Amino acid sequence: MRSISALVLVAFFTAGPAFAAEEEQGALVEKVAVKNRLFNTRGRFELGLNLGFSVLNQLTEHYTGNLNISFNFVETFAIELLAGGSYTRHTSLANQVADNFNKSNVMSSDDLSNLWEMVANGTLGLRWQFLYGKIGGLLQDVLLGNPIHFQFYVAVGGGAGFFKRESVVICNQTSTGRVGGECLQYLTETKASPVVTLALGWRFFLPTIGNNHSLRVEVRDFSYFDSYVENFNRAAALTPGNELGNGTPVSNPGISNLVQVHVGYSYMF
Amino acid sequence: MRTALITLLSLTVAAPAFAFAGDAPAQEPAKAEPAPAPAAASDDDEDEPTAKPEPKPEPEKPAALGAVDTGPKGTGESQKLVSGAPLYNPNVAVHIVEQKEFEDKWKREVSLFPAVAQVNGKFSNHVGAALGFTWHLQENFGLMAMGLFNYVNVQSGFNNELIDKTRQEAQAATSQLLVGGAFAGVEVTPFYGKFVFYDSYLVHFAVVLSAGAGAGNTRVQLKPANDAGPATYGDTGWRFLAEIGGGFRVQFLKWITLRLELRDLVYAATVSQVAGCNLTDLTAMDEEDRAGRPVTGANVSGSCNVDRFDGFETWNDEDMGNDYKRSRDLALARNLVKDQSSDVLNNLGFYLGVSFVF
Repeated sequence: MRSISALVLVAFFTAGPAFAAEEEQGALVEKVAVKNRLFNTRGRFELGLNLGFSVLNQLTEHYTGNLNISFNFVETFAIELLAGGSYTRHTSLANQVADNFNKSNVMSSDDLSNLWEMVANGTLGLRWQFLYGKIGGLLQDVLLGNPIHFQFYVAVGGGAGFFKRESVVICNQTSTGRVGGECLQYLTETKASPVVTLALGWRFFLPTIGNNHSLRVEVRDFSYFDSYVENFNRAAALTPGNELGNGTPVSNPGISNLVQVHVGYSYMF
Repeated sequence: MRTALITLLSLTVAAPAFAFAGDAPAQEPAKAEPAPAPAAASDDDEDEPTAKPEPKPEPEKPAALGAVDTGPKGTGESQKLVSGAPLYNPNVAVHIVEQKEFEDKWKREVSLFPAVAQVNGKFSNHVGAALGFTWHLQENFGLMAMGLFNYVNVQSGFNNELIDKTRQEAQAATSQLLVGGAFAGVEVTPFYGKFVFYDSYLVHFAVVLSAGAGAGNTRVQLKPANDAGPATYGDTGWRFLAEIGGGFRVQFLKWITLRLELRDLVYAATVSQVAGCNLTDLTAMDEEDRAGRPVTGANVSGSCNVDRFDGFETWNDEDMGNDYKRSRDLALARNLVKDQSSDVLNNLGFYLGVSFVF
């Protein structure tokens, strides 16, 4: 009985490492295959173009084009320079609010927040590309024939922007010269202001000759200081030289967030 | 005899250990030259330059950008095979079939989403929690069901700003709030892949797409928050709900996954009654209230919840000075129902949760 037990134990302890070793080598193969990346970015410059649109439009909407120049100084970090401009305008909701307020009998109020439109921007920041992977399945079997390699990244940066603002409640000129007439000119302002940007995105490497091409999809937020006036008088605002209508700047107007979806292309040198 | 049989059995079980340990060295003499990428590793993966039959000693061309350098050249290490793959050969880039680490077929999955936040809240804000169940009938297909409760469902700061500053607000149907709901449908997994985090941690993930249908309970804001007290709401009934969504399912262990999804809940919003009371009911109760009589004396339909407009709202505090007479909401509710509005709303939410697979 003891000899049988001993033989069973010997069999168990000698067979166990066989399966463990086989599993370990399989994991090694898989790990090395993903770790040895098909697309390396270290030491490479990038030039790209992004097109974006604002996700949640309340009173303004933005359509943005950005030039992206990056240098990947290591595999997982890159310096990113972003510069571009936007086509901006009021939404139909803003126009409706303006029309309804103009016809109302409210004589004194506060201006609305988040009306600054970012016309141009320039930021410098850091991109952290901490995930590298492959997607297969339907993409591989049916659509492209090869798995798609990708990076997932987080980017943060700061810089400056040029902004314009048109009020929807403070009217400086009406057709009749009095409150209630059709508004011909709303309060308009411009300013340059600091901008902070934060982005989450994917870069999909295109499996073409040269390993230079990639597509990007990202969600990017531009944050900047808001400002507007309170306690303005509609009649006073029609007086030339008193565009603010005796209103005073709000002491704590908060921060505006412009959240956009950007789609772009990059060429790596 | 018996001992001999047991010994034979033991040796049979233990044999793979010794065979595997001797596998790599036994193959070395046969791999004197760099071999083409082995069939098992690369036959269904992306194309890569095949290994040259003879390494050229000079001149050595600079490596192309993006090329992989897997180790020193010309050493015995470069000829070593691991599971038949020349991992250490600098002239060969090894790629493998995308293999799913964990099987899903016939598995059941319970998902808990403690954080569900609306991302497209123009006139409304929703924050809630959800509980889901998925039955994976196939590797890439399953049936799913989910229940959702928005413990925060209020009008947005933007809508309140419009009310305060311009005396305007969104139409009642456009700002209708989703209290909660349930839906069932299907889930498919067309894409799967893996990623490595900082060259150390290999993680498998799948892209999931879902679609379903169900119902949701809705309400509207009657009185905004002001000096008279907090905001008041009126129930506007159940609505048909459709769901479509997509996201990522990251599996860390055999039994636990992390889900990050975007789901859009689409429902037809109409305000034709408040608290089950239609325009006729609200008008009758309003007339009783204006006459100084209790609203419970009004002649209303069977579905009308008269108690909603009777008595005082105490806000669960002992300060009787701020108690709110509920019948004051009658005029507000009547105006909403009188100017009937309808809309199709999209409640796009970000769902972050953890699932248990069994």
